[in-house]
Amino acid sequence: MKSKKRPRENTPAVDTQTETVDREQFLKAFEKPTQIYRYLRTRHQISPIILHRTLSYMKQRRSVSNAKRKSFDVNSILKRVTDQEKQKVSAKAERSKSLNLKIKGYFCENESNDRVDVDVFLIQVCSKRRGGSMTSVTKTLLRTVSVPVNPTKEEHHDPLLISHECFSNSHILPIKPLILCLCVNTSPMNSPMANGQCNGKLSSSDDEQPSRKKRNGQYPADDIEMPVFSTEVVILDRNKKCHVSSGDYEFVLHEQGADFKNASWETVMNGKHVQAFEVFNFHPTLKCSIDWTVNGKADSSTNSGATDATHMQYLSENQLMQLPLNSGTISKEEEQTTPKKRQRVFYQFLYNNSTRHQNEARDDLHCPWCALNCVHLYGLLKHLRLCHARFNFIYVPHPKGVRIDVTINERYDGSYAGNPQNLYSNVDIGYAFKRNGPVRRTPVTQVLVYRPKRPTESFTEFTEPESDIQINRQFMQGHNRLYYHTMTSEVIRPQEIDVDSEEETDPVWLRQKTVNMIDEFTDVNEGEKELMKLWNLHVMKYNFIADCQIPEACYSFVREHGVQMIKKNLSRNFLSHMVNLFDFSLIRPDVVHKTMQMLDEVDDSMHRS
Amino acid sequence: MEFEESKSALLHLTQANGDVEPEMKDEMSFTDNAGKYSIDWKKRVKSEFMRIKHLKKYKKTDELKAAFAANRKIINDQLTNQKEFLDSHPSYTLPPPEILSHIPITKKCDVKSNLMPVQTTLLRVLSSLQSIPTMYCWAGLQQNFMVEDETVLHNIPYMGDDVLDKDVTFIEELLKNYDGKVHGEKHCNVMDNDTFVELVNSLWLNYPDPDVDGEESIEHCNQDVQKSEFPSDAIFEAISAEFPEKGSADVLKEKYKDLIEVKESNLPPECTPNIDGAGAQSVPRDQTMHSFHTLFCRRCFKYDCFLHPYHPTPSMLTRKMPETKQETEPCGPHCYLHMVGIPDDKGDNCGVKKEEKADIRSLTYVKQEKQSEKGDNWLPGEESLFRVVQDMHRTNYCAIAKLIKTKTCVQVYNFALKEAAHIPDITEDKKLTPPRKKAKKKHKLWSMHCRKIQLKKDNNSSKMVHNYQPCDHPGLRCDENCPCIMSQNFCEKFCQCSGDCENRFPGCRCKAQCNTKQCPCFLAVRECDPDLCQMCGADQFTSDKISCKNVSVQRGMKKHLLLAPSDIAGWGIFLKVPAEKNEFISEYCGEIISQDEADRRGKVYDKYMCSFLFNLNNDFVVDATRKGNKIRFANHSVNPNCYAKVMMVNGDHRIGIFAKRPIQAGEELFFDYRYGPTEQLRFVGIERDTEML
Repeated sequence: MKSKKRPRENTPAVDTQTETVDREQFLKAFEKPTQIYRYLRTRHQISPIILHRTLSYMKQRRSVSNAKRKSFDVNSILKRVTDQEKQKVSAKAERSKSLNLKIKGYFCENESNDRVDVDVFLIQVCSKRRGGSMTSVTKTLLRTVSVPVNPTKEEHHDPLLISHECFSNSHILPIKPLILCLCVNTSPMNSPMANGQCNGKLSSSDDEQPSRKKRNGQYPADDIEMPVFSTEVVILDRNKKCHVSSGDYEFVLHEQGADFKNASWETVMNGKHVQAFEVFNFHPTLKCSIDWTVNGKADSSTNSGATDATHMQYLSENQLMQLPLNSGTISKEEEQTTPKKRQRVFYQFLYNNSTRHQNEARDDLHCPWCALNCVHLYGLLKHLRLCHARFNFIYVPHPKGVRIDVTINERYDGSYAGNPQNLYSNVDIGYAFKRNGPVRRTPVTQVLVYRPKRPTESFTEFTEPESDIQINRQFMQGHNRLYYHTMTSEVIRPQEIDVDSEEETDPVWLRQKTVNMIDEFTDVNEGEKELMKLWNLHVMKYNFIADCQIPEACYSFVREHGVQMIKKNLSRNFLSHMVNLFDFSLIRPDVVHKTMQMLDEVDDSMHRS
Repeated sequence: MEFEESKSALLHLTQANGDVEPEMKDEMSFTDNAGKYSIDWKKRVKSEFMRIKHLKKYKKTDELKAAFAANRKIINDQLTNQKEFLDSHPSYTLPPPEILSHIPITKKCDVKSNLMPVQTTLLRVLSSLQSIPTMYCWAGLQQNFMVEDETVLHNIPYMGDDVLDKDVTFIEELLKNYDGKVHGEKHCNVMDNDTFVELVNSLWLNYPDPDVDGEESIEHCNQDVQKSEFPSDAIFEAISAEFPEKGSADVLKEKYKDLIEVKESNLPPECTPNIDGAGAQSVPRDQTMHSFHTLFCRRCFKYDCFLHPYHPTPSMLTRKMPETKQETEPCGPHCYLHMVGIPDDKGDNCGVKKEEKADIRSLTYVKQEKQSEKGDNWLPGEESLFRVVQDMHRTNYCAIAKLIKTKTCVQVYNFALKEAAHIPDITEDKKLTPPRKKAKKKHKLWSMHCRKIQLKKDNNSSKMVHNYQPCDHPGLRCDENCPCIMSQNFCEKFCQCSGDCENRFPGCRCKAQCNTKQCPCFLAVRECDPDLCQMCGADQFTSDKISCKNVSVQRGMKKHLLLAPSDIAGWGIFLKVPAEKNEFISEYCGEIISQDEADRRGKVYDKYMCSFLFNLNNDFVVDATRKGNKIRFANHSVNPNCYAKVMMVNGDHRIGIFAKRPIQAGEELFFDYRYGPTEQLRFVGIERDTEML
């Protein structure tokens, strides 16, 4: 859904050369970001990266509240399932409801006849389950009704009953959309202007005045054809959701075969400002009331709010205005949100410090770029700031509503603002679906676990431009950066993240250094040197810190280096070393004996093998 | 350099003249001969010197090449290892999500050739990537490393082209600090002692003696006949002429004599022969143990350690002597107890035993002679070994024999009798050791005692923290003259004073975690000593059983740190796992340099605006520029999340970095550089804590 953009020239009279140049520059400047955001919007629709409803500032979009979670009980699952079963049974009963259509009258100034015939068709569009290209459209004439033209008083009409059989699966193929088509066969008349405006917007109708019947259009009277005016009403959409609720409707009729291609958002009636509902003034309309009845009786009680897909939804009491539909899908939110107070949002586009353009969106908190319904103004502003960083948005309170100043963000450099871990491409979405079994990924702290206290929502944050501090502040603590090896400055791969390069107390260079230092002595003989090197490396490896650890150090030394000592013929040097430790009062003589005994055992086992 | 070149050019000229001269030789008068020879010798000196120099140069180049190749190999090995590691731990790389460039893809590029049609593709601009901060090479270590002062400037620092041009005085001042000496200055034409000796030798051996008559000498030269005893004076004269700065011929001659002497005396190595080797000699115990005694560091338990340049020799007084109980049972059929033939009922005291032995010596003398005749040949190595072990076991010959292995008890005993003169009297030895007091100490007074000492320290006007050096003043108590007391340090277990010295730190008796001021160790800014504090578990061998939290530095219980570009400037260090308040993060390691050296180095670092200097105490500074650990990347902040504390850890001052508040995983670490750890150390006790809060 697009928001309405209505250009308003601020200074239309002044059309100097500079003005046009400026205007061109303005358009150019805004064109590119808009294109980019339009592309991103499409991409997001096809393959969404985030779900908007998960964003904290889009709480209102959440369809499922998690309020129940607090009171969740395992035992309640069974109850829920049985309830569901019951509902299914009742849903079957509800399916037998039939649509009661009462056509009250046909309103057209140019109609000369008293009565016109209205053909009521039911269009069923079936598509095969697989390979959606094959669709079959069945158009069945239900009945032709004679309808009074411009009735002045309420007449009683026989209601047209569309039975439930029509809605149920009469075909083998599942019925997808079910459309009611109303065709009015008029007398020969002048064709209305072929710029049939339709606004796909399903507007709420609380301010709609059914008595708006005056015509101000002038129609040339040289067409002598028999035009057929028609409108289509979607009853069931693809998801078997009912879009028509009980109530009074006024349908705008269009001449069949009229060209809709000229439809545009911006210009209506040659640039004249047209309100959304003024369309009723230019086209013939058909008034009718629709009732859902069970076995012919009126039914208005069912508004259970159950979310069963097959369950038809009813909106009681709401008098809805069904406009001709070009695009068939209406999202649920739009259907349900009917703000009581109309809020106007003015988008003021600024360029070179002067307003170039102003758009107004009424009752519409959709993002103009990605058509996302933000539901609330705060959400809209937050969304604009966060998702459309190529622009600056400033919130200005406005007597009639809200003004949002839009300027180009000159400082936007397109640099990557996300998690660098993702840039290095070791973690990403869909990672769990790696085919060759489980793989390692870098631990990344996400906000999901830790939720800092959010500041209370206030509009003041939008009244000032964003500052760098605000942008760069790290809201999320955790490992959201790329780490490097300390020695090589190379990126740490996910496999290596748990390996502390400083775990070892004896780095290679230090081991080499101690060997070199001992080798440098001229007054130490080769046996002593060998033993000292072995011992030093041993001590460095285990980082012995206390005298009381030395006996154990000696035992482990023999265990680990005994074979080497025997091979190098160092047993006497080792004994001297042990006596040396004794001389330094680190060990007792029995330790000397024990270690020597251990060395003997090593020697024996070597001889044996 | 220029001067040297011009000199060699001059030499070439003289050499060219020399080539012409031989033809005119006959015409030359006899008197000219001397002059001619001198020129000749000068020429020879020059060419020989050049030859030696070249040889050395080639040798050095070869060495460098070999070293490079070896390095290359190590690197390649490491790379293959890394690759194997990565392969064994699979990870999957996904292409990064497409980032829409703000530059539209409009440009095309063509490949044109005559044969092929023009190929066209879109020109895509890669997204820009921020470069990582600069990192200078450094070596990693986990414990401090003491280095000596540098006497030469090891390189002239480069700080960009313009900086030095602007600030010429800086380099001049820097050079002044090192007396103008810069490492690696070319001294190719400067002759060192080795080259000098080599030069003289080669001149002497390869050329005819100038003393012998000219004609003959040439023949002799070819036949290579006997040489004179000593290089002739002419050689020295020529060298002196060539290198006037080296002094006169006489001086050179003397020098040569000295050098040769040293060299020749070196030939039989100064060290004692390998006790395990064939050439082992029978030497006194001191000589055998000399290397072990002098090189062993009692504080690091290593030989020739990196941290303590001065290793005191063992005092031998506090040795854990064996139980005086003598073996009463003979150790085997060859036990000396059989031979002595004395029942062991009364022989509990070795002193008594000895007397008895002395009494019966005459009786058994004949027997002994017989035994020794049986082929009781003591090899020199065995003799040395006996002396080594005998000092430990005194008269327990069974034990000695067990250790020597190759000799029986009886043989050892007999040899001991022969060696009797060498044995220092045990009783005498014992008397030197101060009498041990009762082991039981007044535990409750300990903490009082430490507090008193601490208070004394605090009140002292001179807020100095000195490096600890074990005291060694045999026979004297630790009083005002003791270096430990003078530097206001406690005596440690490494001191040579007795174990119950008053200045010794008693350790703690805590049963808790030793992380409050209740613990005397914590109060004194010391880590618990595993040999003193046994209640808190500091003495446990493995770290997992320790309840004491005051042993983190010595046991290296550091946090895993990760390096990434800082949020502030340059590199930063980040915590991988969360840390609690006051938890140990890492030790700040580096080279330990003197304060003077730190001043010299600091001048360069200040210029670079990057300093890793950290005051350790009044004598030393830790410099993490060249060697260090990851914490060196921590940045400064006035509102830091870490603090530094210099602690006395088993006799060494070490810098610990601790968490100032709870820190979450992934947070960057900062500490306040302004408060040097020495300052921290001054505010011990209550003051520091309140300051922190």
